[in-house]
Amino acid sequence: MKHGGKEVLVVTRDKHVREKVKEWVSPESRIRWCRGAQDAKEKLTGEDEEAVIIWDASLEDTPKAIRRLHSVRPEARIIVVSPNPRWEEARECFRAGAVDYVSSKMSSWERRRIRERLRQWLV
Amino acid sequence: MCQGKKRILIIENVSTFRASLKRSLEADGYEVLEAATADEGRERLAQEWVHLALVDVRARTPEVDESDDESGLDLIRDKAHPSYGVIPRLILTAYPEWDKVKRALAPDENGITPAEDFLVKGVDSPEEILRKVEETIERWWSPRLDIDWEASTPICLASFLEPEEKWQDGEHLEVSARELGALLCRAYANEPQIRKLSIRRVRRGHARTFIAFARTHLDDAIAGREDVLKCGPREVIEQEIENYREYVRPHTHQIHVQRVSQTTKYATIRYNPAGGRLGACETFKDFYRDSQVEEIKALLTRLFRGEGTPLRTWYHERRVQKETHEGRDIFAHYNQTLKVARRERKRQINGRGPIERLLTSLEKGGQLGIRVERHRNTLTVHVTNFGAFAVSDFMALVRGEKTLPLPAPHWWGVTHGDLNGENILVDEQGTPWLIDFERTGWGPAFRDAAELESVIRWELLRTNNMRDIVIFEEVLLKAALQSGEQTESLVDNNGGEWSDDLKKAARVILHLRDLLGAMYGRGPRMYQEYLVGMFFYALRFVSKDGITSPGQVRSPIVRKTHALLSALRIAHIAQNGWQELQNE
Repeated sequence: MKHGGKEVLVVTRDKHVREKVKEWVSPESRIRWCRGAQDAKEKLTGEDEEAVIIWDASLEDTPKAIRRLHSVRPEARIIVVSPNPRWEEARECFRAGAVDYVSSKMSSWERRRIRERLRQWLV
Repeated sequence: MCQGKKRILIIENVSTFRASLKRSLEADGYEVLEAATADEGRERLAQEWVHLALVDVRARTPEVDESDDESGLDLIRDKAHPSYGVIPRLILTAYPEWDKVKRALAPDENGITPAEDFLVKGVDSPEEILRKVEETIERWWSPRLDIDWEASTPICLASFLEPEEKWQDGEHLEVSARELGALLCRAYANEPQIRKLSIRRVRRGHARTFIAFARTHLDDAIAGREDVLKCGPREVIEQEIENYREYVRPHTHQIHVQRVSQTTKYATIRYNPAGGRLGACETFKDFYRDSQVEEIKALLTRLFRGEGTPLRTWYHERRVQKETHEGRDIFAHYNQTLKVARRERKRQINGRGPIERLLTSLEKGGQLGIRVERHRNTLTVHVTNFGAFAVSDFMALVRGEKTLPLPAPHWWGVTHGDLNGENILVDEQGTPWLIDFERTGWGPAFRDAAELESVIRWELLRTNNMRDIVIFEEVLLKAALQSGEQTESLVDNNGGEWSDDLKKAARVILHLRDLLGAMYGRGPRMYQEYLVGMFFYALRFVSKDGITSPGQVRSPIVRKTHALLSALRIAHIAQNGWQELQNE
């Protein structure tokens, strides 16, 4: 079920990340899944509504992927989820245009924060 | 390219590193200021102008790096600090951690990032630090966007303002074209692929703001999207953002505040109506002029009832009846927000404001519909065929010294607050989009519809024939908030000799009222509240200066007289306890 016309595009191959994302996103929001940047680009092209993209950092070169996704949807908000967060990777992701970088092993406080951000963006 | 020596503030608690960095920067031609602690840096940033701040994460205690010290991070993330979003920062640390990177570089809810980059001592070389400094200053202070202003567009904010106007604290307004350019560039700072901005239309807003319609260009061959930019004093724009968050965003997916940029005094919001794919659009005023009745009716229906529009939610869901004392709150609200009494007081010539001047100018050989007579020293207004009352009583209403009788309780709700013909955009598919939420919030529930009706009556109507206008006013008064089927016959029966323009206006207005009646009910009490709104919008129109509308054939004096006629008629009916409406 779509909520307000916006949806979350989740790019991951990891079951653990999928489970985590389902915890963050409210049941009213629509989630679409894909497995890589090319797949994500195809899903974004031609869509009317703005997107929130959750990108699994264990996939391909994340900063490069962020730039590719932004070339299709400049206004998309990209959140990077990392199973092993590193400061160098975080820095490069933000330089590439990500709006957030989170650990998949996040604390309950962080989980509440990300839920609230998603709620604001998706409502 | 940036010109002149650039000033950099280093906030670093370790003196040897601070000195080394200072030497490198000075060798590169920068003027360098220092602060040995975050507290000292906080004060210097607030008081002195710099082009960039280099901030160490751990800067609480001189010469000591404590593991729990995040004073530098706290400083850059302090949104209340005057330098936030204004002076770019580079964060420095010898102890990088990913969550610190995130807190420094993740954008806040307005799209502003606390720092521009995160540099690591011992990892990033001195040359890399210098390169980052130069790149940040260049990007921040030298507008990279090619901003193309159309020939007819004023180039700087100051041209919208009267020279004698001042900011609060007695500070004179000074906005240069360069600062305006910087403000606009920062609104697109996170989209480096945008090369050019074409500002194709600019109009003045309230409280020293302006709204610009801009088309982004990715390169010469590829056009981007259509954005709506609103610029103005920071406190005004911040209020609009709050209004947007509270009243608009939860109720629609169609309008999006993309980014906020700010300087010390000004800020910009960037809207993306229709997700940025608005394409060619026109204002409601232009749409009204070019369209047939049925098209305009369909637009109004979509505006007030369309799926996903904020008006639908505001009008259908968030309504409350507020217990007020005999109309005083509604009266005071309208007079204050529309500044009727204030304008009448401030624009006096020979002791008379614009409304009183128009009234007294009708004393001899007045327009049909209104006649003013003097008997000894008392002026009396005769609204043709409808009775008379003293000019002094009417002016007491204008000044807020008296109110129109209106039994409590009254309807209050969330409304747009400024639903004039230019804050409704219409795209090529005939879909309406709202902009400008500066006045959005709780108010008299009927104010939006009353304002839109006033736009149609006094700004868009083209008829000069006062006889027909008087009949037009009476038809609208009798129609109240009845359903469209009942009111169509009123137009057919009374408007036989009317121009097409009058018939069009009547049908559109009656459809608007039909929509309102369907939402709030069609009883006399609702209609009385509606007419109070119409009363004030009429007075506001009479007291406005510089009324021009492209393509308008009616002279300002005819339009103002029409508006005054309407206000007098409402005051007359109300003065007699609204009996005339209840007898219908």
